[in-house]
Amino acid sequence: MLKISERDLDHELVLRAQNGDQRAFELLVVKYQRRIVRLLSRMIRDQNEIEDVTQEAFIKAYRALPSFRGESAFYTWLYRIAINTAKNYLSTLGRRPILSAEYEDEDGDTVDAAALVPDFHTPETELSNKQIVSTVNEAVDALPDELREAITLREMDGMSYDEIALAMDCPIGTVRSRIFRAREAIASRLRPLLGDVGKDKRW
Amino acid sequence: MSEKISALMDYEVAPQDIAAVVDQLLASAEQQAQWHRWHLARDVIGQPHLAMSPDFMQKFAAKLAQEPVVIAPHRLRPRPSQWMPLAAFASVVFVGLLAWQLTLPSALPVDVLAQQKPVEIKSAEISPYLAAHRDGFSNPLASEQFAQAHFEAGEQH
Repeated sequence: MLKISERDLDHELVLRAQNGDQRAFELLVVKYQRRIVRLLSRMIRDQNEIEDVTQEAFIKAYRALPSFRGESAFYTWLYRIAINTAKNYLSTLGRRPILSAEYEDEDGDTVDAAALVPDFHTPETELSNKQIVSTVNEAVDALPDELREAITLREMDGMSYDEIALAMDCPIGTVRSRIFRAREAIASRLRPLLGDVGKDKRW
Repeated sequence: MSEKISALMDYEVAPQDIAAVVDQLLASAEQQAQWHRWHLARDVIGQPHLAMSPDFMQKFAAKLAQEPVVIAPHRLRPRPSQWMPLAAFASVVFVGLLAWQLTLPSALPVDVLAQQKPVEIKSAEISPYLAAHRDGFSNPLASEQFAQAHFEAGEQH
């Protein structure tokens, strides 16, 4: 089957956002928020600051959306906006960005900046994040074997449905259904944690 | 339908179906909430130590709602996928026609070719021109062989 690419999906959502649908842009933010946070955590240490700059970067991207012509992938375009937003933020504070992935700490030891978990100044955030991580992991562990295998091959190993079908020796339709059912089971455990109750509440 | 949205997240959707699946996703608040939960699960499974405030999207959506709505229709060209096979076919036809036209003269009978008057080029008339163009390093006419070929063609008749 001829399939879409990541770029096709992003461009479809950009197209909708360019036609005035803000929800389409929010779906892109949902998709890329953590990637941008991870990127900016290499330049900024404080978790609250990282999220503020991430939010600002997305707002800037939204304002600049009419200039996005699709010559590059959406993420490449967003990446540049995020880096520039962070650099501007740090320069107004008179701070220098940590740009290298590795740097020396106070004792002269080399530290991998990417491996550092950002600082958490709010214990509530840290607690709820721990809850989310443990809830997802418990939900995955509780899945029937064939659902757990399918979702793990997809999300951890990044395999396509074709590849998973070969690995699990089953039709592609079965792979699609198993991944969907695994996601439903995990999401049902996340739902109370995220406070997703009430009509029309999306996040 | 949710299963198709799950497949959309994995890019396991046919190009002709993408618009319809995105329409469905945008039409339902519950599907969008699922999109959020599924991406959260994806990020946790793939990147176990990555954490964010759970209310990030709530705060972002509130801020986005204050922005003037962007309207820039057709800035991004919609996917041309449905015309692709037609365009490919058209270019194959064009190349075929071109090839046919180019090979057409050789298909003519030999006596027709013989009746055609050869073009006479007197080397004396064009030699100053050629000489002038032989100067210069990057000039393709500066090549002795290239000029020679033209002289031969002219002097044969």
